[in-house]
Amino acid sequence: MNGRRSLLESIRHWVDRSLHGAMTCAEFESALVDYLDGSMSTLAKRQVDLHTLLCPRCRRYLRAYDRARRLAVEALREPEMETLSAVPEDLVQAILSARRSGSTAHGS
Amino acid sequence: MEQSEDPGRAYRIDPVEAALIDRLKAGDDRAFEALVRRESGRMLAAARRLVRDEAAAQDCVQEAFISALKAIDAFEPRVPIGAWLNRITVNAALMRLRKARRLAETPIDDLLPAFDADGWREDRPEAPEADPFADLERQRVRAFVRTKIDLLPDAYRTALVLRDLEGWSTKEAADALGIAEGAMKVRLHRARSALKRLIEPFWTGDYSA
Ligand SMILES: [Zn+2]
Repeated sequence: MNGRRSLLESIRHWVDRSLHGAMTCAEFESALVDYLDGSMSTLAKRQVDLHTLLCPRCRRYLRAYDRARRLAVEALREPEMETLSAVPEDLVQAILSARRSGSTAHGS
Repeated sequence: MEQSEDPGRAYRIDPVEAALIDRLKAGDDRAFEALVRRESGRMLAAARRLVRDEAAAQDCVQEAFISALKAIDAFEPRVPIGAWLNRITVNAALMRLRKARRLAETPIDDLLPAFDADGWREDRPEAPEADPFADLERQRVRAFVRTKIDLLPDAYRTALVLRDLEGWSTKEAADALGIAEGAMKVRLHRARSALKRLIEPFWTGDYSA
């Protein structure tokens, strides 16, 4: 919004930054994929851990983000279980006949 | 339950599976039919998650079997044949989405987290510690989550499915989508963040929507 920051805001920012482990929430945000993949240097991981410890909003965010991720996997797996027991017979026949026509066309 | 392939551990093929592959290589009709009956359900589910259209999903499975037959002579069982077929199906589905130009990133800014000018996060509703649900309740929750995943544009849903569900690496997913690894991470992150926002009503117990 306004390009200049008041002295008070600058102080608050400095205090925040010290308290939140030298990482802003936006920086925390962009580190999440690597963090959850476990593909981070020990130092970078420590910074994320520290920010998580000191910043309640990011702590809550990470928990919800991770929960959403796991719910998505569960939700997408469920219909797969149903399909396993009910493959459309039309599809099976279509595949079998595609193979037959394919192999005669190739003449092999 | 069968797990997706683990690159850290060598796959040891069991004798029944090895015999099936030999028969497939020899062009055995009944072996092929057995394979189709055994694997097409899982393949169809994988294709549906990506293309979201029943006819197109079935086409993907059919294409996958035809491609697999062409490649079966060279098939070295480093992974179970089901995992191999699954990967071919996913690639067929991605090809279809690419051809239909459905993989372009569309803006979803209103679903992404907001930060103030100093980079501090806006406050959002809190997720509960755990889901203390009975089976019936879980089914409702999953159905609710699926409707939310369906709201994600294809580019994001695809990123989520490839990485979090199919278990592909960032590089594999990036290559399949024709984007850089950095872009893939951003896309995955946006997909997860947007989904988190979409299912927030569930944190407060409202998952009827
Ligand atoms: Zn934070």
